[in-house]
Amino acid sequence: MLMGQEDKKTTWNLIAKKLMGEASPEELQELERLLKNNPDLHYPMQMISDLWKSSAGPDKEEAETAFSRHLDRIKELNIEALSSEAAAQSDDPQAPKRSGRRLIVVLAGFIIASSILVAIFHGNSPHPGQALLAASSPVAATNEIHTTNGSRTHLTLPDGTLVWLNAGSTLSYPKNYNTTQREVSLTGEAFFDVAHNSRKPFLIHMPRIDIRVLGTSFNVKSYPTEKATETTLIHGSIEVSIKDRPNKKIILKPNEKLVVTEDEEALSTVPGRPLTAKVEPVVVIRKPTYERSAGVITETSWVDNKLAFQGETFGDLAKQMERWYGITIHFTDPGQEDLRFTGIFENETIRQALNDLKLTAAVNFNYSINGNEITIFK
Amino acid sequence: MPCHMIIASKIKDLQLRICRLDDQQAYKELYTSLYSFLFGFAKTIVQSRESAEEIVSDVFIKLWERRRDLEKIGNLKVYLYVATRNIAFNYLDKQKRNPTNSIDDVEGEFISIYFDPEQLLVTADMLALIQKAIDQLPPKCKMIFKLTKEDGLKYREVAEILNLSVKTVENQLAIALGKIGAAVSFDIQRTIPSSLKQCP
Repeated sequence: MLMGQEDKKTTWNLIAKKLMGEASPEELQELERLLKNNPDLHYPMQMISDLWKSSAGPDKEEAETAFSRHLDRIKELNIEALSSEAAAQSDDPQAPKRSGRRLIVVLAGFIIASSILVAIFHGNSPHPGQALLAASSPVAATNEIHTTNGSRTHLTLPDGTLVWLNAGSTLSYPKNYNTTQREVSLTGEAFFDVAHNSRKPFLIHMPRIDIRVLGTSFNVKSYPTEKATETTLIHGSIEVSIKDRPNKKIILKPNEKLVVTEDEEALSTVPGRPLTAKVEPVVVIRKPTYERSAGVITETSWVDNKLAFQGETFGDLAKQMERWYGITIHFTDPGQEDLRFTGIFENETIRQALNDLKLTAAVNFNYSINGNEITIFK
Repeated sequence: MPCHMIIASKIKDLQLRICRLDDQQAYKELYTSLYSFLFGFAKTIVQSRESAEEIVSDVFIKLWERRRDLEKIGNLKVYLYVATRNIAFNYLDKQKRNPTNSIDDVEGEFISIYFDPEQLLVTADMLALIQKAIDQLPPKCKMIFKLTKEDGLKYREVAEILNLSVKTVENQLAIALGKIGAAVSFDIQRTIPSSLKQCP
């Protein structure tokens, strides 16, 4: 039976709708009926379906090189707030910041020789297996993601692990991440939601500790300007090794927080009185701070774009605000740094935030704003 | 669906990060995810690789300059295609003496449609036939085939981008598939040995 022209048109129309995923159940049935009556179309339809499904996909490499040309063009055209020169900056959080929310460009594909990776892949006595690995990547190649103060970002690692990177932080991982193992290095603060893979452990290297992930989501914080490294576990379980004490491994369970610090005073529950005079780093397990009224866990609020603090000294809070807003804060009177505050900043500008603090301060203070420099005085 | 096109929720996520956080990592990811699609689209209109790349760059400059308002845009992907179309046609206007805004006037030589021969399991001859059938499609038809098959856009998205009715897009795609189908059937007719053709 030969199909009329109208029927053919209709059939192809329905085939198109089916391939587009926009055919209603009635239309699919109609298509079945029409095809049954015209077997001549079976082969072409099959061919077109196969053709439809096969696609070469976008060339990501070409897109990346085009993007760097795009950045060059922006520089030439002198468009502000997207300078690629920012990409070459060092990640010194003490460096004075420029205008408010200037952010750093990602350096995916940035090749540096990482000492950590050299230690792993070359080692002291390379085995034949390792030599193969070294041969295929003669220069240890790493991807590095860096945020300046005032910026946060989040990314997905090749294995599907989600990482939220807080301000003033650097995350790096090797180009061959997810081949035999999953290792990253971090300074600053990040929240991880680790993709499950029991055959490939997830490892995080930080200045003072290493973390091996046995579970899923947790927050780690270790800024160079701060003395304490904190790890807060939300789901799953993680094993923490302290670099100075290789034999001591601590396994955190959900809703536990580990603080590794050289600053005993920070751990003391009584402000101003240090616990003991110790030389080695002190390790304490605590409960994460839960802000009951707002229903947030202080340590991970930043992931939801909230800066939360509980009984925080003005000095410590100022450091967090510097990173959060990309500003610098000076205290004319060091005594003011001991004032304590509890609260959450969500969409407040720096001015609103400072005014909120003024309202709740036990001892009044004043501030002045000069560009990105805030001065606190009596 | 073949789709290598970035999914809607991911675009939304990048959109919000660019808007609220000035997140340059997100900006770069948006660019690299959409580049080849927007570039191909621009190239079809202006018939030049360098100009096409410049046009996409212009689109993304504008996007960055207006990032504070980005949240207001419902479908960012369509928005970027439309911006690309507008800038591309503006460019054409400057080049030619007869300004145009219709995809029909576009020469359409440069529309590249990709398929992976390994996935298709067909002979080289068949592949050539398919490619020829696609090449011979009229410009509007070919563009619609590309935007739906390659770029994974929906009927109404294509309609909005090309300033056509949804019905027109549906019909044009059906015509495209019908023509490719005809080319393919013709070939199979030729290759079946005559003795087998007798079978009911």
